[in-house]
Amino acid sequence: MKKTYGFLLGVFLLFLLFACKNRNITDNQTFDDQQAGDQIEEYDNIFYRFPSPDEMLNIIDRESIDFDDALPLNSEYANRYLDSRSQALNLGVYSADLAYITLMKRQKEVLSYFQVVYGLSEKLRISSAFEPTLMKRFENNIGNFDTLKILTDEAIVDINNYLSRNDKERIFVMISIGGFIESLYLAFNLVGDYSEGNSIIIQRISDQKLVLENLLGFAADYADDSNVSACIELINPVRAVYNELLVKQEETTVTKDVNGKLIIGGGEKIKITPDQFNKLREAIFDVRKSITEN
Amino acid sequence: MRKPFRIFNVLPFLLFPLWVSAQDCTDYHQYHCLYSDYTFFYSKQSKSSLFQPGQVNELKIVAYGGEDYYIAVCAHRKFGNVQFRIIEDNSARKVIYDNANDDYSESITFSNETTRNLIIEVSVPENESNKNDRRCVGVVIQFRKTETE
Repeated sequence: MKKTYGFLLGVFLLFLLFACKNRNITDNQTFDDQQAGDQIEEYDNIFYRFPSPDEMLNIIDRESIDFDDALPLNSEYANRYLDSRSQALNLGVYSADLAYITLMKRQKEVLSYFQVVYGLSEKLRISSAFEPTLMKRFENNIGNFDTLKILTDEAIVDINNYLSRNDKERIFVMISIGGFIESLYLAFNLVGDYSEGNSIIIQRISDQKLVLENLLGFAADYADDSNVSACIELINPVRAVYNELLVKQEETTVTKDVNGKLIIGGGEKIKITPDQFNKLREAIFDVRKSITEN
Repeated sequence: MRKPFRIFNVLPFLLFPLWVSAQDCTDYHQYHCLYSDYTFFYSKQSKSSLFQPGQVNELKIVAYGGEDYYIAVCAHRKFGNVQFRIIEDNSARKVIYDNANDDYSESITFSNETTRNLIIEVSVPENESNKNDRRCVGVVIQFRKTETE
C-alpha cells in the first residue's frame, strides 16, 4: 500500500509540475521572486484589447468596393521570411489579407491564403494551436463562405488563445502589428484619394489612432523583447502622424431609444486633413514595404 | 488483514492537479458566456481572466462608431453578483453603464455613434469566508452595423 501511495504522490507531483509550467520561473529567480511574480499577475488588472483586421475591414464589404487582386501580398512570398520576427509580422499581414479575401468572398484565393497562414504558423511552431481537422474542414467548405468566415475566425482565435495560454504574447504583438499595418494598407488602396464621398472609410482610417493606442499599450508589456521593441520602432512613423491628428472634444451623451437600447453619442471625434491623410498613407506604405520586403 | 485499495483515498491526489491546471482561463468566455443573436459577430477583443473575491480588472477596448455592441460577462455562480461597468477611457472616466443599476444584468447592448476607447471594469464581490477562491471570469464582445432608418 505504501508503494501505491508513493507512486500516486509521484504522479501528483508530476501533474503539479505540468500544471505550473506556464509560470515561466527562471533558474536564477528565488522563491520570493516567484511569490512577487504571482502577486503581480494577480493584481496586474489592466488588459489592452484592440479590434482585429477583419473587424476593421468589415466596413469595406458594406461599402460595395470591388475586389482588387493586386492588393494582398503575393502568397508565394511567404517562403522569403526566415526569422521569427518577419514570420510573425507577415503572418499578421497574411491574416489581414485573408480577412479581406474572405469578406470579398474570393473563392480562388481563399484556400491559398489560408495555407499560407497555416504554413507560417508551422514555421513559428504555433500550428498546434489549430484543430487537426481544420485544414480538411476548410477544403471541404470551399464555396461556402459563411462557413469559411467562421473557420478563418476560428483559426485566428485559436492562434490568439494558444499564444496567450503558452506565454507567447510577444509573438501576438508582432502578428498584431503586421495585421494593423496591412489592414490600413488595404483601406488606403481601396479608398483612393481623400474625398467627402469616402468619408466613412476615411473616418475608420482616422479612428485607427485609438486602435494603435491600445495596441501599443499591449505591446509595452513586452517591450523588453528585442523583436517586439524593433516592431514598435518600425511603426513609430505611423504613430507620429496619428499624434498630429486633431481630436475634437464633445460631451459624451447616453440616451435610450424607443426600444430601451442605450445610445452612446458625442465624445471625442478624430479629424484628419487631406495633407495628414497623404502623410499617413505614405507612412503606412513605407512600413508595409519594410515588413514585406524583408 | 490488508485493507482494500479505496479510490476515495486517492481521489484528492488525482483531482487536485486537475483543479490547478483548470485555472487556465484563456477561452472561458467562449464556452460559458451567453451570446447575442446571429446578427452579431464575435469580436476578438473578448477576454477571460482569473479573479479572486474583491478583485477588479479593467479591459480596455475600442468600440467603432456606427456599430452596435453586445457585451456579456460570465462567471461561476459562487462568485455571486459580478458587477461590470462601461467607462469612457479618458481623463473624465464617465460611467456609461453600470449593471449594479440594472439588477446585475449579465449583458448589455448599445449603439455607439463615435469610435471611442472604453473600459469594461469587472468586479467580483468580496467574500470573507473564501478569500482565495480563484475562478475564471469571461467577457464576450460582439458587434454589428447599426441599422439606420
